[in-house]
Amino acid sequence: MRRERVLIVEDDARLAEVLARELGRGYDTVVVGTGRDALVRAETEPFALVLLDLNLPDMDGIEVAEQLEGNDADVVMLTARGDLASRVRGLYAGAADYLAKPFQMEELLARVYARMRSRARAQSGILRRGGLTLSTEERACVVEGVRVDLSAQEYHLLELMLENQGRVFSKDTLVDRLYGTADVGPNAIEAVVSRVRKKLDAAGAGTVVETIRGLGYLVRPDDA
Amino acid sequence: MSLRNQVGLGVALLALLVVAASTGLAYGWFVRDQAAELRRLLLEDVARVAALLDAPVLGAAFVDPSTPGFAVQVVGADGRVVLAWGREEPLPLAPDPVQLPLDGRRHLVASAPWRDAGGTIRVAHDVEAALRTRADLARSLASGGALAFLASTFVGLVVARRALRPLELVVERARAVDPQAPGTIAYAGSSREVRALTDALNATLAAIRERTRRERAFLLEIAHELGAPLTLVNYHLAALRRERPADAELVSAADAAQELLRTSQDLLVLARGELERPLELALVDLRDLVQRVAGEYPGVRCDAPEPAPVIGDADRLMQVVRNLVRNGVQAAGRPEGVRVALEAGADEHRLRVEDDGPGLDAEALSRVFERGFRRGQGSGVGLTISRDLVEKHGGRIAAASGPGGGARFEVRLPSLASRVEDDAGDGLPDDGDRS
Repeated sequence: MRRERVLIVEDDARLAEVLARELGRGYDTVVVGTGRDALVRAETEPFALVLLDLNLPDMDGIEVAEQLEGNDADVVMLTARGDLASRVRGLYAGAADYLAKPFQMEELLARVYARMRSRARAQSGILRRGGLTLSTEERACVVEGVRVDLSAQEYHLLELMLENQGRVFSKDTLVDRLYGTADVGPNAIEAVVSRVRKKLDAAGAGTVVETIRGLGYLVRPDDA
Repeated sequence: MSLRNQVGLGVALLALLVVAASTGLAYGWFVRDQAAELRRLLLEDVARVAALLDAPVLGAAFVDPSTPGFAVQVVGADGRVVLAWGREEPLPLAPDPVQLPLDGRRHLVASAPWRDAGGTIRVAHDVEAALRTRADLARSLASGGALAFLASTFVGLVVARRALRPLELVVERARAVDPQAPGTIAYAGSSREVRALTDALNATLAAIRERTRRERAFLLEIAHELGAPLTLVNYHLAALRRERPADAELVSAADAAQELLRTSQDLLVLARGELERPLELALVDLRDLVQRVAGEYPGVRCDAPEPAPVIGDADRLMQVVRNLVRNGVQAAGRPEGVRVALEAGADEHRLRVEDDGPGLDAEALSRVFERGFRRGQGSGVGLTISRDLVEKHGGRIAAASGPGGGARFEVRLPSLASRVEDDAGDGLPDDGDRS
């Protein structure tokens, strides 16, 4: 099986070496020490993940992260500045994570593995939860072998929540992800969720999307 | 005494002084003029009677006998009344007018010598009515003054309250300033003094903000400098420790490195203001977190038989559990002295961390979550962070004395079940914004 590639952007040579050694157990790694090199490599070669230190000698790490936004790679940021990282994470909406320095190697590895797993799930083209299956290429929803017709919004909501099982989505986040504008109120999300529930219930999938009081919606993973 | 009452009282006292002085003066003038007038009228009558007696005019009466309260007597040298109008009983001799009661009414009496025989003319005026008028005037002046005093006190208080209202407003706004992130106090009114006060307060707040910002920047600088070396030291020592677990010195160094890492993580959470960062909510099993933390501190006894799902931020809940366990290990001096128990309930889950250390006295129990409170070798911020995070998750944290004399920390977090809407059919979260 082809090994995933990880780009390590870290100007501290000793730390970069250790990161490459640890991540090298599971992935092919490339180490660069500057933001410019990182952007050049990321544009010309495919990477599954960029491990990005936000404190770089030649340019602002945030800028690098912003320029990587259109890139296919997920981003895990290393920084002492939590406020900056959450800004970028908002930008990526789900495809970026961060870890504060100093950290224990286990913590970093756990984060990288988690990102890789969710990436693999998204790329397999199939999202599953109980008897419910989404085929992301055909944008089709199937419950126990029977196809369920969903509108574009309904499908998008279900895909987002099945990709991120276990995560709680607030109505504001869902408005942002489904409509991308502030013109739509939370009522629109309530209506979409309600229709999705009715259709899935009618197809026999049971309760998939749960309401968390005052916080938003949740799709539980199968094992929880 | 409040400034408002002081000003009100000051105005009232001033009003009292003015009212008392002016009414007193008016009353005094009136009394003096009235007394002079009464005296003049009496002496005029005496002179007129004397003139009439000396040169009687035919048909002219000394007095109209029906005039009430007016009496004239001609008294001989032997003291006998020779002639009397208006009153039979002899009037007293009074070369200077005197006031005395006659038949229960006050009279002014004056006398003058009549001829050389030693006789006298004595005249009495009833001044009761005039004197009553004087008393009436005194009463109305007094009640008017009292009314004026009350009214000015009231007005004084109202005016003082009005004038001080901006001050109270500024006090309210100053109270509302968040000590963690002090903003500015707004004042748009026209009071120069209040504006000066507001400006002074805002200057102080700005200085505090600037200092906080610099401290944060400094800590972040340190964090950046220490981040990579601490990560590396910890990484290498942990790797060596796995290779040579029997090497006591190495194990001790690895433990210390890990401790250093965790402590700086706590400090950085505060330095970054990360407690203000919104929670990233997901389904989290507390049992996983507890077991992972227990794994980080081999020797800690862990009793977590059931899954305990909650809605929370996994990283931050992990930090809470880790801080409590670390705190216990420090207090007990060894991981074996710490017991972690997770009890899953219907509405809430309880996490108890007990240690067999020296325990906490009453004072320590009340202050243990305060920033900077130190217990043993701890950094003094871990428990503060833990409390903030637990409360952000809608939970509670408490410290108590454990059964074995050590300390016991208990965290209660609302269970997943308690947060899931029972009737999921309508798709409407019950958070009060269904409008």
